Amino acid sequence: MKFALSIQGSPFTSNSLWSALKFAQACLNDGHHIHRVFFYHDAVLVANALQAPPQDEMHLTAAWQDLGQTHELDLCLCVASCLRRGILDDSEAHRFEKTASNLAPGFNISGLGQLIEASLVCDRVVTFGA
Amino acid sequence: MTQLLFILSNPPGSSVYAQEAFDAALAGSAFSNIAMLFVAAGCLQLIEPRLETAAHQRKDFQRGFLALPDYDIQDIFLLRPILQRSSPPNGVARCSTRVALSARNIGPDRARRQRAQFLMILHTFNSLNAYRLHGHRPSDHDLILLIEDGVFLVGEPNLGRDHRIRVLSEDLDQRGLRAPSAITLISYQDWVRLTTESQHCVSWTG
Repeated sequence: MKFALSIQGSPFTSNSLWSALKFAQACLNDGHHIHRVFFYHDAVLVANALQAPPQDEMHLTAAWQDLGQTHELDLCLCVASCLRRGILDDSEAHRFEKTASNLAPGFNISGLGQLIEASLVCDRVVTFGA
Repeated sequence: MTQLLFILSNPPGSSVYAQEAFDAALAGSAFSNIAMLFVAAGCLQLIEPRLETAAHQRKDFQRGFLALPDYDIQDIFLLRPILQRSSPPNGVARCSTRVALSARNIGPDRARRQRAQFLMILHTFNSLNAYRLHGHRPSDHDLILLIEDGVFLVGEPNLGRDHRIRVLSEDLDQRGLRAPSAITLISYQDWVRLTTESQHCVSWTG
């Protein structure tokens, strides 16, 4: 079956990124296809490359990067959510004349259309709310 | 044509979520047929007259509601007793969740009958508050999955008598809780399977 995951909760004040990660792993283990993972609202904060958590803490960003790389997942962030929260790739940083970009490798910034497209072509959309 | 249902549950002003959810619905209307369902505090977005935006330090995105007909969004529903005494804004009808998922062409009564036969919705609840606000929405044919802080509900007496309840075992363990034996515990793998067996998945937060 073809799945889309929509994740909305913050990495710091909700469990949604962790729940979605475990769900995605179970999904892939079962042989399902994940068409896209769409990060919205505060969930985009997971793609901040400038995070430096203590070594003895779970690093959600790295866990998502690993899963994304292993299974070639489309880890897609909403551009409006990103800009509002200061997650910028090179081109957005250039466009807004910022001194640095901070999008972690493995993630890509795109628009809400990607969530809608995924909702239309997938058999199931599973939302992980804040 | 596929219809996408957006459930809007956040009040205006206190966070940017309400505005971002509205943006998502508008974006959706460019690609598909859209229904919007305002629930719980989300209904406060529809109250007139609105509070002054300046007090909320947020953009007055609700003016965009006037443009909904231009985006061809006609299925707009709200679920909230708070608004029952006053009349809802123009173009907003009251209904149940179940109807909002399908009512467009076949009418609410027939939709209810059809769904009673064929449709199972998997409702996830991720907090006690989510269950308190929305726990009455699932029908007898649906399944209820408690995840994250929603698993604290296992302390409720008689929960085991509700045959619809499932509890994510790992989240229970993480919180050091044990469930009565009458309650069905499931793994992430089971959750995926339930997702494929249901026709829709609805995630309730609170």
